[in-house]
Amino acid sequence: MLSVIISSLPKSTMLMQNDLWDDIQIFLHLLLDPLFAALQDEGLRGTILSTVIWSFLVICGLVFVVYEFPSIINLLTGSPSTPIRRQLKTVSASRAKAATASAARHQLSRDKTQKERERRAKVVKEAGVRVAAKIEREGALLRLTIDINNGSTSKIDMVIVDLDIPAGINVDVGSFRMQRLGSINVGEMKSANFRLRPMGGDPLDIGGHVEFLGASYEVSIIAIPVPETIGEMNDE
Amino acid sequence: MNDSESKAEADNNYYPALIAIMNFAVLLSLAMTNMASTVGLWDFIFVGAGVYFSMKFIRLVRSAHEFEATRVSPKDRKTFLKEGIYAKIRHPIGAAAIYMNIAYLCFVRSFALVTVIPVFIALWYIYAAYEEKILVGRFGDEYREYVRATSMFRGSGYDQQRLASSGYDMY
Repeated sequence: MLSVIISSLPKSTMLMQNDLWDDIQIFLHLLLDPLFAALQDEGLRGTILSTVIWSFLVICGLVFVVYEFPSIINLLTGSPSTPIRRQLKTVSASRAKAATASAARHQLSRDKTQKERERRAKVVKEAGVRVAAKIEREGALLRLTIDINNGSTSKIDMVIVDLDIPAGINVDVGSFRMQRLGSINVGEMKSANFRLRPMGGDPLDIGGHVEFLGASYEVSIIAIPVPETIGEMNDE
Repeated sequence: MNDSESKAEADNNYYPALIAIMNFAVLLSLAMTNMASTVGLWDFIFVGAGVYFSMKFIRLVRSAHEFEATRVSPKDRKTFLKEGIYAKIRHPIGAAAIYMNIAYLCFVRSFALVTVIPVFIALWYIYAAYEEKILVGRFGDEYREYVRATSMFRGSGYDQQRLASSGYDMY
């Protein structure tokens, strides 16, 4: 009885498959035949194409007009404020005034560069990337853990932790002063572990920085804070 | 650039608007007289490609105008933009216009446009180079560094350029 069932199984499967494909074919014919029949009409195809083409040309034209309208209207009616450089040129053409204008421009450029630096520092502070450091004794060695928590709104890439180790502390064999953590997704935390060998130096002097690339191409640098000590640091 | 700074400046970046008006006035007049009337499979494929490039045009124009400073002449910008779309490409309006030229070519499907479009693409390139010359003069090395990290019109290779300009792997 069982052998009869087993021997008939592939046949029934094939039958089912054939039926399924027939059903799909019938369904597709029902669905697409009217469409193909309609598309045989060249007039209809031409109408569809020209509708799509002109719709997109009009939409793109409108997008351009909407966004560039302020510039165009200023061009037609005259700009509300004349650019600074042109004013300086028309006031006087004397060499002394030109030199003053040049110096002013250089000063402006320097100010802007300084402002940009300050802005970058502020962005790093407000970016939401937090760095924490803790240090604990592990036998004769010290274990330094740097936690980087990406609380910002975008992924950070090429994260590097670079230690600045004071005299009297060495990096243990097999451990490195610099570690690359790769990318850290939003809300994610990654840690870098360093094994250090104390040689009489103060572990609290350990410094360094965490460097990463933010959403824009800019490199951001955050200083590693003073490590939080866990347990007893001194040798017994 | 912060918003208050940029809003205080005038919308006086006339050149892109003028070039675009000239460009699309010529293309539109050519489109009206030379539009292909065939409706074969290739025509549908070309129109599909045209739709794709039009969407790119819309996306780039919209992204560029998220920043008020896009409409400020490079001579009067307090800083140069490097966020949003500007983190990837330096001239999104020029890129948008070039994509729209290609879209016109796909829509019209006529050799009449093949002779005209390279001229306009060259014009957009010349304007972009002129703008960069001004910005390099104003912002110096900082702008040169930004140039190394971004592309002029296309966003491909973005991560690689970012990597190259970041100083990463120099230890």
